[in-house]
Amino acid sequence: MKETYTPLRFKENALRFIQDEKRRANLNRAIHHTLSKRIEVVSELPDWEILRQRAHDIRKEAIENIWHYIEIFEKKATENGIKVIYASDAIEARNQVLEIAKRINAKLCVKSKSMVSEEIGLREFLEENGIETVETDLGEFIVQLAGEKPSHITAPAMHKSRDEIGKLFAEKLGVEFTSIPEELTRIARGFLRDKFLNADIGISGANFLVAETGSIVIVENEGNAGLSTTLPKIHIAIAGIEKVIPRLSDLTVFFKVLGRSATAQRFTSYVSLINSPRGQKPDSPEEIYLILLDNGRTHLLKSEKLKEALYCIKCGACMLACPVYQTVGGHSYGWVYPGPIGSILASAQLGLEKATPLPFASSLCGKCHEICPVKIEIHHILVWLRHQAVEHKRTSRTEKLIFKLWLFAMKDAKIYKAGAKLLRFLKKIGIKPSLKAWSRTREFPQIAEKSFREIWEKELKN
Amino acid sequence: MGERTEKLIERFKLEFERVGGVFIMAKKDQILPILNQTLKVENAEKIFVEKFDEELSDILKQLDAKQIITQAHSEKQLAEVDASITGCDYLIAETGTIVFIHNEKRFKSSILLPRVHIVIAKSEQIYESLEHVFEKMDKKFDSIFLVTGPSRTADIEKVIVKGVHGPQMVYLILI
Repeated sequence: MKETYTPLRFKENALRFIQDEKRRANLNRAIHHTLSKRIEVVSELPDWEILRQRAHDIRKEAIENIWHYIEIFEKKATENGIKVIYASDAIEARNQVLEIAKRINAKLCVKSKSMVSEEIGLREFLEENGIETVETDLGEFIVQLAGEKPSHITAPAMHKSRDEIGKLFAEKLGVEFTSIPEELTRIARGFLRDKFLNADIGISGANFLVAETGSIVIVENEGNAGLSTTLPKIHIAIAGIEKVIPRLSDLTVFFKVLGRSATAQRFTSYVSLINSPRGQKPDSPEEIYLILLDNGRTHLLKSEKLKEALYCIKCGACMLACPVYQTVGGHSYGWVYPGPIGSILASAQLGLEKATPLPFASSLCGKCHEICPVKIEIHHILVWLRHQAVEHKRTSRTEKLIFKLWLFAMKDAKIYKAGAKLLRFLKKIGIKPSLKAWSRTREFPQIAEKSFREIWEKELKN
Repeated sequence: MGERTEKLIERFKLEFERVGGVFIMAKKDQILPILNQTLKVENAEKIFVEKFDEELSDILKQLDAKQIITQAHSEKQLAEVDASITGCDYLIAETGTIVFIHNEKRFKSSILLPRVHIVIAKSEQIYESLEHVFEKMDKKFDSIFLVTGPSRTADIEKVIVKGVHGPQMVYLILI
């Protein structure tokens, strides 16, 4: 799976997905459902646009002063008894987790949902090192059993039907086949309950890091994050450095926009604000580690253009709204964060040479920007990345030639007219342009008998 | 009870029921029969009861249950419990949220492990929004847990299923 999981295979992956009608139907059902519910819970807030602006402003303030707020956060969290560690890349972060696990001779880890851990391939790494690591979010658990990757950042198994999941459970867990969601959920609860109670380490991500109070904030619905960060002796949270926000009161803004954008909910079922290890509390881990991960983020910070992508609160709304994502599905992107925002992050984190197809996988319609709860101008950044790709000669010669011809024709009315005439002449004598890659999935546009200019001159002007 | 509090309670009830919670208003002398009835409906025999003030503790001692645990010594023990009865710190009307401050007397796992969670709250604990609670709260708080309805998922074809890892039912009894 790993070798094929690269953005460079975008085109062939996309083509395969487009031809898989069952998968597309599963995906579209899920997308449609969430988007229509989202409209309902967004429209009941008359000040939605003000909230978005407020969320944008706070994220901007945080990212513009990121080292300042990280310093405050670290000081506060450390005072509260949380051990803060920096990791400059995936390898460092993975080894830090392994080191902690080895020190306590850990056999079993329970994991709650964390895209950053997907980003660094943590689960696979721990398993390779002989530590059983179990995803406890139902969607992630399904994807882990299937040996796949999440297809969306908040709904990882949205590409799967209940029948597929039923068959998977029957095969992997040895239970009787059922396709009833309630039954399947109960089976997962029973199986994972045991893991929770026996785990040595709980691994989580973080939705926000509050500088003012040193809190690790985790938002969820199932209760698995709550259990993963309460029952085991050790809790390791991994967060990108961009997760920091200045004040506790900022959370009230993000809670309003995040739930609505991610899962079309007014408020998620559970929010944990974790401030300190056990201390006098009757339960909670004895030790809490927070790994602050860079992994290419400072590279984004250095670029005035790309910096804005770090405002992202990972709700996944831009994916659902994107006509390209809707057509090709999350796996086609070949990167842990798919869709419009993922195309930016991949280009910055992997390097443009390893992600070239992605900035072009957009219709630039701007729906991603319209739906984004923190108002990131995703489509503008994608255009800029395309520009970079052209500058660095990452586009084909044919494409360049076509655009050169196009520019030559568009710059001069006479040449344009002559060109249009030539095309009409070619059509008359029966020569069709052959552009297979383009026309394979599209109708070739008909060339009009007369151009608008001609009609205007002869018939409409008077 | 002031008009303002009444309005807040009404809003809380609406939002809490909308996320699938069961809201019950009660006078002190009604608590015992309500709890007994609830435990019967939920078929809960083994229950965990958090430490309450003396008056409530005395009431809760008379509960009709096969086994009552007041001193949990392990999370494994809490995992075997059918229902837990706990207090809470604040209620948020705007979202139907129950706020728990994780302190010396509170097991966070008692909120999550049993399949039924019953919360006893007082009407003076209700606030309009999370902003108000944050203002009211001491900034040097220990950990906090916000609960809005039962545990849920929509990971299988967007069908909402309750009681994934946390409780399937959350009751709030407001005194």
